[in-house]
Amino acid sequence: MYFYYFKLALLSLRKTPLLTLLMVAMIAIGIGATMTTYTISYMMSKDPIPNKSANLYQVQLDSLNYEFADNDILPNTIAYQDVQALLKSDIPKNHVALGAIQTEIGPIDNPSIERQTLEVRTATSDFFAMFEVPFLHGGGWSEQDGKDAAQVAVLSKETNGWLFNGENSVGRTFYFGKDTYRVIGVLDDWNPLPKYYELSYAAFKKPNGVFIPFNTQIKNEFLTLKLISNYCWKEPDDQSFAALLTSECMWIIFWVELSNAQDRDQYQAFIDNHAKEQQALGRFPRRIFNKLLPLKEYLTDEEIVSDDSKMAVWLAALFLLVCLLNCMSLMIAKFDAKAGEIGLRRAVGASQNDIIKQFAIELSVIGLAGGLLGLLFAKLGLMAAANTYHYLHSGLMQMNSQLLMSTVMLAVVSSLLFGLYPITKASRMQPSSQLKSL
Amino acid sequence: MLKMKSLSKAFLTDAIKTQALHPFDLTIEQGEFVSVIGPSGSGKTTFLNIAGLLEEHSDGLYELDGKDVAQFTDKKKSAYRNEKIGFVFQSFNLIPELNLYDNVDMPLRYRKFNSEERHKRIMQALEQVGLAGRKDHYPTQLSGGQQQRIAIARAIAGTPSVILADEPTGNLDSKMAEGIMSLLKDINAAGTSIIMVTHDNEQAAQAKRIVQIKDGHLSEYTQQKAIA
Repeated sequence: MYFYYFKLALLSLRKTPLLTLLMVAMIAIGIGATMTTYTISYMMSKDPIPNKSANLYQVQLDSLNYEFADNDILPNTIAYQDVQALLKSDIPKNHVALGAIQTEIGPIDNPSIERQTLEVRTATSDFFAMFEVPFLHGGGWSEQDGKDAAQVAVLSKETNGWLFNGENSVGRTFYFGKDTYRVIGVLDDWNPLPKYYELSYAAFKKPNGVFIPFNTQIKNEFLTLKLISNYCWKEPDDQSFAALLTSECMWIIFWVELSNAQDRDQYQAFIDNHAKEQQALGRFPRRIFNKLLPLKEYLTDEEIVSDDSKMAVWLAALFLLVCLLNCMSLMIAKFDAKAGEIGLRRAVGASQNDIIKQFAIELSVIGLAGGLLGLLFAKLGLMAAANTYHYLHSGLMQMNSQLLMSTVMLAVVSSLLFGLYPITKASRMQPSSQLKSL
Repeated sequence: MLKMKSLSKAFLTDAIKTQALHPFDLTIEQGEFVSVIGPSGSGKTTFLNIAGLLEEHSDGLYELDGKDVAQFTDKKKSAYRNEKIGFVFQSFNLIPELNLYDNVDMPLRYRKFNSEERHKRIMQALEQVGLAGRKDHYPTQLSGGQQQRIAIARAIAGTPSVILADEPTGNLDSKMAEGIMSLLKDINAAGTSIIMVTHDNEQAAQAKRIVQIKDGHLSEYTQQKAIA
């Protein structure tokens, strides 16, 4: 019977092509606008590493001598001298100190390719294991490489494509500023969204193209102030890099992976003890207040999903509502025009339920067509957004399969929901009064 | 088969009550051919709608095949209309975007017959009205008389107990009307009851019984008296 209703739906839609087109277009525009904004908001807010986000914590230490924002909020970065101490702990499964620099990079044996200035992520050796970074060739640096401040690098797939034409470049060298660095690993596609390990301002920027050991940055005294969040509440003794390292300036992001609650408690005690020891030495002047901020809390606290994007979703949903209300009035007109047919079908034996099913199928077809066209509109909307905001992570503007399905489902369900009144009204028509209108 | 006792129908609009049919008794047995005559607005169509379960009566009893229809749910009424009643309307009421085969198929779909059974019944009905060869045509490709034949085929495809015909020849010329009357008589001869509303006294006279409705009052006459 449902196939019969489907056939009737197609015939009915073909009979009034303009009305059908209007209804489909109205649904499609509303769905397109809603899903464009929702996709961006959804991609911004989803869990970037669901299998271990509960085990990842950002370490925050209150080594300040003033209240930072309010009593409970601390900077996202810590001082180098604290990093040195924390890296000695064996409680975390992994721990990572992160810095960032900017330098010129280019190929050695291909002068036709111009050098480019790239942002480089500096990290301790656990970075790749902790954040489950996939490799295409080679791997990350060892702990020893890190300690030795080896001049090695891991390239993203994109950077490797640019520098080495996508070949396996492990063992090959390239210009890194004035020096040459050896490639030890090439990443596979890795576009975490948001880049949760970063500071919030960079969370939706393009993925890093080059990674080098943290100690290599330190040894070579690389520093790009604009890429770090540097809270220097007490000026360093002088302008030297060595003075920065021994200062109270907080500029290094520190993440730990703790396997369970027991480890977390142990580690909390460890950082508190560290703070107390430092306090005895004259540091940590205000209090012992250190935080292990869970990843999800960090993303919320840092407002990585902004209220603006949520507001845009609500506005788009409101627009969808207006589209659907318009569509509903067209549905009422459509079903009123079919009163004669309804009367006839009732006369030859269709029950109210049969009429409801027939028109529900017809609206589902309209909803499905609206959903598919809406999907196209959403894709176009996302392409336009990607074009306008080209500096943002391209993953923000892409629908995953779940969103694709949701778009079509939303169109069908909302069509049916808003068709409920017109359908019920049509099914309750007194058949005898409509028979003469066919 | 059809028994109405003290049955009446009144329409209520705001505070105004209009008595469309005053209380009447009527019994029609299986196989009868009954004409219903009366001037326009006398209540003929209301009577037919009540008989066809398309409208509810206000008071009295209406039994169809021994069952009190007032107790029926919408589903049951629909099933009764589908199985026991065939409708033929003055303006044919064919769906223009469906071909003749699919128009005749319509009531059978709601009967949940399988496709083989439906096909058999459709072809039999189309053959009975002499239009089997045009099953793929559309209503607009037919003359008025042919369209009414298709409407009759649709009415008989489900082998109903009774056919309710509302001015079946009202839109046809006399020659075509004659053909339709002949077809209805053939169907009646095969055992199907027919209740036909008509303005045409000559056609009414072809029925075995005549019921007259005037100002909502229903009365029955013998053939010869009624036509006088």
